[in-house]
Amino acid sequence: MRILVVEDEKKVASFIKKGLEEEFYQVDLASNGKEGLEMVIGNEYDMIISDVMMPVMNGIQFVKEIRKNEINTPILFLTVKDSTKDKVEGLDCGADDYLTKPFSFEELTARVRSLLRRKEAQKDNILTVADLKMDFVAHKVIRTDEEIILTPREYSILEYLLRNKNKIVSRTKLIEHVYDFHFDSGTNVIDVYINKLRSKIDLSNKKQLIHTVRGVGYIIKE
Amino acid sequence: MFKNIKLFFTSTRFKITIWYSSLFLLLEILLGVGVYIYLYHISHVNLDQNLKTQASAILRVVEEKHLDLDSFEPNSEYKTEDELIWDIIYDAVVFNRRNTFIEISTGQKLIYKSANLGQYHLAFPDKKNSELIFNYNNELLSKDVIRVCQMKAKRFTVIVAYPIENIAQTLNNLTDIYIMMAPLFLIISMIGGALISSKSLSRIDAIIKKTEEITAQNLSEIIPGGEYFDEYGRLVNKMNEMILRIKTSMDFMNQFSISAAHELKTPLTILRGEIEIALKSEKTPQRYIEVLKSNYEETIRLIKIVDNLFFISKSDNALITINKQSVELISFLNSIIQGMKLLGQEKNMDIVLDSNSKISIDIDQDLIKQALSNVIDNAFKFGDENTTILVHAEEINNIIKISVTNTGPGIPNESLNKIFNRFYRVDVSRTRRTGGVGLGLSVVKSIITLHGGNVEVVSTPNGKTTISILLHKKAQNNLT
Repeated sequence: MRILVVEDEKKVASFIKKGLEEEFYQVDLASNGKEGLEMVIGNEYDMIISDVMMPVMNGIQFVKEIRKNEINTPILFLTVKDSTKDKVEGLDCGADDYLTKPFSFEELTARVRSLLRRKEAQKDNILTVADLKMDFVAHKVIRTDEEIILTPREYSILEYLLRNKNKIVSRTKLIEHVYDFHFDSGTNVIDVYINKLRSKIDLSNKKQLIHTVRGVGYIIKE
Repeated sequence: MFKNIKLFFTSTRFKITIWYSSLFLLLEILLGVGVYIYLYHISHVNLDQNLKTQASAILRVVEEKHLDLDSFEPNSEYKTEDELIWDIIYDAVVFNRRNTFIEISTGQKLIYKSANLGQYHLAFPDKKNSELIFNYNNELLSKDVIRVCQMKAKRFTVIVAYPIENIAQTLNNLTDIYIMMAPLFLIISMIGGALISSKSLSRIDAIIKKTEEITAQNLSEIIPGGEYFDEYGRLVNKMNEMILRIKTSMDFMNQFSISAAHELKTPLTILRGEIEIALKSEKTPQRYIEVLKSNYEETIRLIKIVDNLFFISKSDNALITINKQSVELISFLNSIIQGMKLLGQEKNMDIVLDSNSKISIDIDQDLIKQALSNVIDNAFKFGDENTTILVHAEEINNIIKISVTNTGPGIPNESLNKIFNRFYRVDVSRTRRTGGVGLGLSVVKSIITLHGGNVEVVSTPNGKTTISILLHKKAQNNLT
């Protein structure tokens, strides 16, 4: 899952990035609304976390512009402004959630999960396909009661496939959602990761879940 | 209950009523006394006048008729002497009130006396005067004083007298009426007083009610009634103005605490977030050191913000005492500049002092050092890379001007008069990015104001920005 963090205070942006990366998210940073808008238009994000008070283009203008461009990515405001008026203004301009600084990082990740769930019309923090279970809170993957240890990248790929289960996911999409924007998408690195993932999940004695759709991409289904 | 009674007796309403009814009663008494005196006087004057008229009329008739009363003989017209006299009196006086005493005499001989005198007669020592009016007491004739008018002509002396019993009676009646009416007057006046006071105080009640409702939460509400031009209207207007002033300073304080909280929240967010993430899972020692370093920086930032806030509220409440000493300015400036040169390293900036004439000045060294440090710090923060900051000091008419000039993007015109405001930032987060908190220049302003000096700023966009501090050589009066 790829998340854009728009925050002008470098240190705040940096710890959010580190913390979210520990949760297996891919994080891009922008230091103001204008920069953020360019990135949102050029890339596909699963979620946006934005400050409100920023130079050049503030968070409110930024969110309005995003919605004007008919981009429905979930947006969470992260700001020191804590009055009801500010919250109402933030939510009314098109944001989906509002968290005031100083915030608990645990709460931030919970809200991120909640917004992602809503995006996929998902009921809880566990996604399943056949006997494969993925727990987004504990970051655990289990197949028939056996825990499977994945690397962060493998985890991200599996998460994206599961969030789009029964749908074909192209290589480009996978790259967009599991790598931050420093990644050169020209390589066949996705195929390598898919193979590693298959070797851990689709063991010989079990039913194959990850399927290749020739010339298009991959799909996870029963 | 007791409190309510006490409240009632101390209320303005009660006092007004008492004042009103006392005044009313006093007026009634004064009026009564006035009327009494007036009537008393008028009655006596009238009485005297009447007595005189009657006496002179009788006298005129008896003299003019040339009747020989001394040798009266009954004839066809008058059977008795009295009939003749009655006729005369009747002629003279139209009608004789029953209790008017009349006597007609010639020399020592009494010719006539009215029947109501009975066996008495009004004998007075013969006076030379032709006309006399005096009081006479004779308890047998009347309990009251008798007013006597005695008139003398060639032959006759006429005495007309009247007991002033009737006047006294009338006046007594009048007094009785007044005394009887007094309680009635008192009741009417109290009701009137109560009505007037409650009518005039009902608006005070409205003001009290509204004032009670106004608290710190609804200071934007106003007390109604300001549209009247009377005392209450003026009172209401003044109170509303006062509420507005309170609101303004409350708003200022609220804004100040909100801004202060915002400033404190950024470093706190960083501290909390970094520590939370560091504790979430095991990290390399290198990472822990990074987190601690960053936390240390943020802690320093918090201390700086708190120090500035503390300084500003102290100066607002006049809690800062300045301790002025004579200082040689150039070496003082040099020591500050040397201490701050390092700040320019990152952006390859330099700072120079371009004055060298010796100037002595009375200042609080610590405070002025803090102010100048803030100004120079800003000059570094907002100066362009590879430029030089110029510090200049000069003396003009006993005023010392210290200017700090940098080359940079400059301050937009609309922001020039706001840069000394607390938490003001030319660019929403530019100062934050550069590590400032939007308080530095307001601290400068506070310090210089405490010294009775002034701060000025001149800026050209993408050119030179100069912040000048003006101080008295020997501080006396304000420069503002």
